[in-house]
Parts: sequence; C-alpha cells; structure tokens
Amino acid sequence: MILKNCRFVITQDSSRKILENVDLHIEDGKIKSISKPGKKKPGDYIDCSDKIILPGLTNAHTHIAMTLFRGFEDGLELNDWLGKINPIEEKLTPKLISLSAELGIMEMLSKGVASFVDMCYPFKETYLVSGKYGIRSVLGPGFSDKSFKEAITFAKSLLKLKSAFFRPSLSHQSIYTCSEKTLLMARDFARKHNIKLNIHAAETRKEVLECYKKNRMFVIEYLDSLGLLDNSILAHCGWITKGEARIIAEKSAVVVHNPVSNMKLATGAFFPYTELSLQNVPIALGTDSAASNNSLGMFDEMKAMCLLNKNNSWDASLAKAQDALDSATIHGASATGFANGSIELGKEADLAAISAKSLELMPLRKDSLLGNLVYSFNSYVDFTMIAGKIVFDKAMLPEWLKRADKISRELNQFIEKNR
Amino acid sequence: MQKERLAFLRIGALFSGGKDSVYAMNLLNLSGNEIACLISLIPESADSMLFHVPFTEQIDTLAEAFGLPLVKVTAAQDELFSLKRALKKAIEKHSINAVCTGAIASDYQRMRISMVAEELGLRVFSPLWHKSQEKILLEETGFMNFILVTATSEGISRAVLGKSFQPDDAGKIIQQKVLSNKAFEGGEAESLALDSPMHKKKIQLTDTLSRSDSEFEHYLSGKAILVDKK
Repeated sequence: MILKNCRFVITQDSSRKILENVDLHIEDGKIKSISKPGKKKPGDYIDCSDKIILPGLTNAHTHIAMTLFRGFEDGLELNDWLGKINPIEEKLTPKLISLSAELGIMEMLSKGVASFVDMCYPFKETYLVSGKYGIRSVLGPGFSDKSFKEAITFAKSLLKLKSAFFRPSLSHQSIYTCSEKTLLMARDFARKHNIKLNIHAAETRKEVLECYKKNRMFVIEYLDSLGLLDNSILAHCGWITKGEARIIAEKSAVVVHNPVSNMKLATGAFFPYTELSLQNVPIALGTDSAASNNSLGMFDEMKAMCLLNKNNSWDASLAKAQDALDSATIHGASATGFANGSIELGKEADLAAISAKSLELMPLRKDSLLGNLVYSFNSYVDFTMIAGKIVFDKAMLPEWLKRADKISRELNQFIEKNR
Repeated sequence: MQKERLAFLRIGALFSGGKDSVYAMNLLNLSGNEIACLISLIPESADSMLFHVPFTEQIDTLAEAFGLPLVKVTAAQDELFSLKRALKKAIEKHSINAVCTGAIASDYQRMRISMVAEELGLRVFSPLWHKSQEKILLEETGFMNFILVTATSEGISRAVLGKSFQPDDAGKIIQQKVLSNKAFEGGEAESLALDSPMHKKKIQLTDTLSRSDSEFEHYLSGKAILVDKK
C-alpha cells in the first residue's frame, strides 16, 4: 500500500523530521520506504495530499474495562471515588467487561491510538476485544495473593502466542494489594520471561505516608529494595523525590504521566517532570480509565500534560508540544516494547492520519503543525492504521456510533440497576 | 453550583521570617486565600534540616508585623513530631485546613511536611515548589524588601549582608556559577523579610553587629523593631 503524496509526515525519528509531500510505502505491515511522490500506478493507494500522517499514539496507562464508569461520579477524591466504584465493579459480568472494553477501544482507535497498556481484571475479555479490533495491547492482569496463579497462567498463554499485537505484563494496583512474597514471585516471573511489571506508584500522599511508616522508605525506594523496578512501567509517580527519579533512571523504568486523571481526582500530585527529564527517563502518557478522565483520547492528554507542567513550574518553555508528542509516541513505545512510535524504515506501519483541512488546525504551516495538533486538535482522525491495515476510517463512524449506542444502552441498564 | 459545599481555605503559613516563607504566603493571599495564622518552629539545634534558624528568637516581633496570630512550638530532636504538634495546635486554635510552605526544591522538606499533613488531613500549598530559583530570587527582590542575615557560601559577598537586596544584587548572584541554589534553598544564605504587601508594619533592624568566621562565613545580628508603614 502507498500513502500517496502525504501533505505532512511527522516522523518522530531521532532528528524529529517533518516531511512534506512524500509517499509512504507500506509492505507486510511495515514501513518499506519513504520517497518523493512517484507517478500514480494502478494499485492499492490512498491519496493523502490533504493529510497529516503521524505515528499511531500509545495510551500507556489505562483500565479499558472501566469505560462503563465514564461520568459515573464527579467531585470525589481517589479513595472516596474507589469506594463508590469498587462494589459495583465486583458485580460486572464477562459480557459487560467485554462491552466496556469494546467501547473504550473504539474510542481510542477513532482518536489515533494504536497501542495501549492496560491494567485489567478479568483479562480474557479485553484480549478478545483487542484482537477483534486489531489494536496492539500490553495486557497486565492485575494480581493479588489470591489471583496470582490465574494471572501467571494468562501471562503464559499470551507469551505462547508470540503475537506482534499482544504482550503480557503483570500489574499490581499498589504495594498494599498483595504480600511481599507475591510481589517477589511476580518479579521473578517477569525477569524470567522478560516481561514488564506495570505498577501504580506513588499516586497519592496517603500511599507515600503508609509506605514510609511501614518501611521507612518512600514508594520508589521500597519498590527498588524489592528489585521490582527493573524494566517496569510506573504509572502516576506524582509523589516522588529527586533521589527516586535517579533510581528510576538507573533501573531503566518508564514513567507514565496521567495529568488529567491526577488533576480530576485532586491527588495534589506534583509530577517531577524536570527531574525525570534531566535523568533521561522516558515519560510516556496515559489517560487512566475513562472513569477518572473521562476521555481516552491522547490529544486531550497531550494538551493537559503541557499546560499542567508549564503552569506548575511557571516556565512556558517546559513541556512543549514536541515533548508531549514524544510522550505519546516514542516514549509510549518504550513502555509497550512494540516497534512503533515513529515512522522509519522497518518500523511497524502504525499510523494516524488527520485532515490538514480540520478547522481547528488552521492556519496550518509546518512550524505551527505540532502546536496546533497538541493544543487544538480533538476530533476524530481520518484513519488509524495498525500493521498496515486500516482499523478505523471516518467512513466507518456511523456504523461504529450505532454499535456504541447499543453498547451504551446495555451498560447503562447495569449502572442504573446497581448504583 | 452547590455553594454549601465550598469550604474556604484557612491556611496556616509555616513562617520563619525569611524571604521564601513570606513570599509564599503573600502569593496565596493574592490568590484570594485567608492566612489564618503563622506557624513557627523554633529549632533547638542550629543544624536543623527542616527549619530556618536565624532570628527565630525574635519570631514574636516578626509575626506581629503581620498582625496575625502566631503558633510557636520549639522543635525538639524529633522535628517531625514537633511539626505535627504545631499543626495540631493550629488546627485546634485557628481551625486551619491547609498549610503553606516556602519550599522550593527540598524534597526533605516537602515530603515530610506532606506526610504529617496527610495524617492530619491538611492540604499543603507550596507555591514556590519547582519554580526556577533565579526567577524566584528576581521576583522576590521586586516584590518585597528583604536583607541577607547570613552568607555562608562562596559567591555571596559580605558587602550584601544587611543591605536591602536589590535587583542588581540578584543579578550578581545569578551570575555566580559556584552557587547552585540561586535562591539559597540549600542554606547558602539566610534572609529576613522586612516588608511585603502582607506586612502591616515594617521591620527595622537596629543595634546590628556583623561578624565573619572565615572568608565565606558572614553573620549579621540585631534587634528587630516594628515601624509604621507610610
């Protein structure tokens, strides 16, 4: 397939080149070549003369099966909020989880997301729906002492698949949801199979206090003392010190910033953007669940990341549009391990296409392109491609909206009955 | 909007008399918040990691300049315990529901204050946290009148001690490559705020004495008195 005469290609390569008026050649699901426009030959091509092509985005921290809780509560802080949601969550059936995940995946694909890292519970449903829609996912069964064996079995089954679309991880909600013994078993399994641990880390002040009281260590220090940081994905990290940022860098962990969710749940966090950046820690970006965001769209999240960190630091030069795009693409790929996140030869053809004629992007120039995308764009993309296959096209929207409406009705029935 | 759900912040400002604690509470005051009381911990040891030392023996006078009640606690060896005691007292006496700190970059300060506040259910506002120290020093210089009362690092001249700190002085400090904390967050110098928009009376220093223990250790002492603002 050829994406013909692309108006702009945001490569996200090492020099962050933005190409104009080029053809993108895709073969076997990968980027085969990038060239000056050649003559149109009969075959499989898409005219992209009015399109901006960028790498498909990565939502590096979410709980996709919680999409049914979108808009469920507003105005509660994290623990009160969990107290409302958890009892209802326990009543979810596999079918509802599947529908909830489907709604979330449809939303992400329609907003240019090609991969996501999920902290999931009953995990099989998310796996099946991801497969149906062709989105890449790192599925991390959230384990407790009780469910550890089940989580390991699931992780093993994903490993066996050797799929380019799925990677297993092991997720833990927080350091208090299981015993140290289980954590150490998870660590050993992750090391043995070279998979990531996906950890909620230092999200709240309460968590820091409890950890310090019990262990005389802050959260990252404690995780490090157990050897849990190597190659891990650390979500939130709103309450960490400079010293902890150094530890994260030493252990090659990826941090996932969740600005909207943290602000909405008023965790009072101060994301250590400067410290982590100075230590060259990859900062990926995640929406968290639709219950605490309420969107799963990464353009909104990129904008929030820039605004929050600029304002926090009184420094407009911090967290620029390019930084946010790096977080949503190449750093996201560092979290997932998928060979996407940039448009380069041999990389996966995971792409998002946006109309250069979108009203909110105009006036559009090469120099305003990234800023306009990050601060202004929040519509549906024209198409999302994963492994060279179009998995969402705007033309599919009426059909998808019909399906989403059907799902919504079913989910709402459950919510209304159980709230 | 459900107005009954809106709870006004009543802030206890951790107060040392130095420029950062005074600037921080002025910023919160300018954001429409009520500073309900000042909270000072008087360190027993001159090596306190958590609290400012110079002029704390005159903290009552420094606080009186603001016309705000002062909660004063002597910081024993267990500084966290003392902090908790002071905050509890401020909750009981002045019904505070939040704390203001002048912390800029010290994780030691921020994390410990946050943990104590968590236990007591207080919110913490640190408006200077992670701002550029150069920027803070320049803004403080323009915003209020302060002097340096100790200078204990290479790069800070003895001549600047005790004189009203001016933008030129800030400019010279910012140029000093040997100083990694341009707002003196690492204790390179200690300051005394003499006047700011929140001061009801200005502070004047009389009977001043200066002493130098070495090329890079200079100290100023004196008696703080209050004078009317014109």
